[in-house]
Amino acid sequence: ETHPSEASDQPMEIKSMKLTAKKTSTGQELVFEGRVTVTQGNLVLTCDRLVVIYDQKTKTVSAEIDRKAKNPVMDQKDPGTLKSAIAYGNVKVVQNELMAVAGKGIFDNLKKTITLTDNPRLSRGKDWVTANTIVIHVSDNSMEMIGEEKNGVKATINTNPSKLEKEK
Amino acid sequence: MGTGNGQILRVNSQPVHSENLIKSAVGMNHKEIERWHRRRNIKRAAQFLVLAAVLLLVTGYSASRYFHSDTDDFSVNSDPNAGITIKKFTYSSPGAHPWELEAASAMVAESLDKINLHKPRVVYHGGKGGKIFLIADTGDLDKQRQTVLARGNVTVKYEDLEFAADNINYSQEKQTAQTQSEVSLKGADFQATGKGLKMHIQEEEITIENDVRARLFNVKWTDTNKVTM
Repeated sequence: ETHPSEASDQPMEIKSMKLTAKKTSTGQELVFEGRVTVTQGNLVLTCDRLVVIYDQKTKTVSAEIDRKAKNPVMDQKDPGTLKSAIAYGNVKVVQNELMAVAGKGIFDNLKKTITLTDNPRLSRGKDWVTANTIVIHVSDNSMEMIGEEKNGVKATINTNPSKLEKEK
Repeated sequence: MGTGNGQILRVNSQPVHSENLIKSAVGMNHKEIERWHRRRNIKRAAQFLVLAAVLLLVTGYSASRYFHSDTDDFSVNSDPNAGITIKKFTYSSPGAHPWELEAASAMVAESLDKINLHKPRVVYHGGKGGKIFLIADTGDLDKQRQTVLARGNVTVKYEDLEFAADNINYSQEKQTAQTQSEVSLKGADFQATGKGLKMHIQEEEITIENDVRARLFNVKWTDTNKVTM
């Protein structure tokens, strides 16, 4: 297992069939399409399409210092900051035994959250949770399950962990 | 001796009347007469052939002299390097979506349409107001078809993105530049490689078409290994 601090310093590796770079009003967009696989540390996300949005305006000083230290790429005129990455279609996030599936997933680099919508379901072994929206807070390892009137939060949690250990 | 309008024939330069000739030949038998006639015909045919050969030679020689004098003076120079070399070559494309081209030097072919470029640099104007810069070691400009083929260390710069490829082919008609070669992309906070590239000038979109491998830096979406339920 990679050391925790190393995991987050590693670059995010992305594989896909196609990549389109385009200009937007606030910065740039990278659109990865076709069997997209994103890996960082021991977290792996797969989906059909991933849109990475760079925003010129929200550049923070720390990001600037950080960028020069870590990034061997030559210096650019006005480098943007990664604002967010949106995954569409057959979104699946796996980390160790935890797995989440959803129709859509938004990673917000500024808030450090991963928001899963479109029938999200989180499972670990035999335990699972479904809700209208599931928000994973990366910085403090907490999770929010947000339900709505029609379909609230549902969960199945096995209360006898020792039995589970034997079964393993 | 009978009268008759026979021809006067000379034998050994003595005038002999043809009728008398035949009467005197009666003493020769029939076969000898035939052989005599055949030999005479062969002789005539040979003379005719010699005459025809001479005539042929004369006409052939005069014909060759006639054409020879024409073709030599106007033969096209087939040396591929023929053409005019221009230093600091510049060119602006006509039409609705102009682009500007400059090169350290250029060799303009005789047809004036095909131009070989050394160190070409092209500036395309995108549909959203952005500029796309293309530079390479060498290139070919076809003014008639309005195409530019860039080769060798091709670099395309757009905003803070920089693409690199072995070659790239721009077509004014399609308003695209594309290649099938390996490509790489560098941005402020990411790098990518792949195969095949297509650049849509008006939409200001650049696509790597296959086998994309990318690395995004300065992104932290997993803080530690353990995500508790």
